[in-house]
Amino acid sequence: MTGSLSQALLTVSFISYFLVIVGLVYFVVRYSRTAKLNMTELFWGAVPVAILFTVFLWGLGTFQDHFKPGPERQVGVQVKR
Amino acid sequence: MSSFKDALKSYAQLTKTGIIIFSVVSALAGYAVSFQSGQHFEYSHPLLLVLGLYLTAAGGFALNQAQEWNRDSRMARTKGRPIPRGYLSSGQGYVIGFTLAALGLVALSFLNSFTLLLAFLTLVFYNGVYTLFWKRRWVFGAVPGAIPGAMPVVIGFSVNSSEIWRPDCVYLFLVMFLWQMPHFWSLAIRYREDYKKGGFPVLPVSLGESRALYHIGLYVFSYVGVALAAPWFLHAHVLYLLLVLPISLKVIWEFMKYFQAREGAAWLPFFLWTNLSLLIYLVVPVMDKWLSWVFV
Repeated sequence: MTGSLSQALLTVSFISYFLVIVGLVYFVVRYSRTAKLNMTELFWGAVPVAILFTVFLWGLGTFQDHFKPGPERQVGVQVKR
Repeated sequence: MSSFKDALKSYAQLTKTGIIIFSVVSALAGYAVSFQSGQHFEYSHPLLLVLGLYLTAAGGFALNQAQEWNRDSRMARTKGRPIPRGYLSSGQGYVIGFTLAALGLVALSFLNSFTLLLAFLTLVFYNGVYTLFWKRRWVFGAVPGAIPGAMPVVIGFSVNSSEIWRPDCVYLFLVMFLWQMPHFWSLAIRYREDYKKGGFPVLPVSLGESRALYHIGLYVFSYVGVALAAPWFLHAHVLYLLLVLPISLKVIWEFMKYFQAREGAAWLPFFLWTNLSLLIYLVVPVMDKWLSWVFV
């Protein structure tokens, strides 16, 4: 995969991910009051939100790896050259 | 001839053939993602994986129906299953389930011991902990119960690599894990009266439809978000742009329509699009990887 395509994909991915987080925050703020959650629901409702943010942090950690040359990459497949 | 057809139909019902297809496809996706360029391709590995996983999952589902036939008989959706309608006894269900699961584990043992261990633990977790305890007593039992449901990708991945904490494996696991809550809870909303009769304290029965929909929403956003992060964790290419982005938008769009409408006509499109999205999220990384081999 060429560097420019790789960067384009990562950029598109980050923008999309950011928009999903914005959508999630809007959804939580807009509908939490009407849902009237108890403590158990708050705990279990935090699980998917925590996964989403953990993936974001983990993604940041692996982000630079995508820009390394083929043999140094740890993520995904090593491309034959 | 009709008795043969009936037997075949009963077997398919007992072993939940439709769901097994998802498990097998996801296991193959895990296998393909962990397959490295330049690695020697052994034909027997995917064949043994498909056979082993199919038999183990079929055994697990048959055991599940033998364990739950009493509750199934009270639910309109499940009372036509082989054990509640009297085609098989629960004892026969147990025998079929144990036999299939044992054969599946034997097939997987030819791959490697780690794959065998993962499949065995998945079976114990699903038929032991989830079916016997969590599902019967816990409103949010579906959340930890989704762990064995997501394990087929890890089992497939483990055929080529024991490094199951690698980002590409965790990504596939998370996608499969997060998908199950919108899938199961939307079904539970649809058939909540059934679940009530069966005595399962599922989310829509215990907390009501609107709160169940709210929790589905949290998982839909998380599921789609993780899927969109594919290029961070594994090899994403053009298909990611062409398929994953549009289907992700579509899933959120269909969810919002379902959320606003609550029930009725909006349920089916949301349910179908969510299922289709899972197939795409699992298959696209594999296709993208192969494309990169072909074109580089």
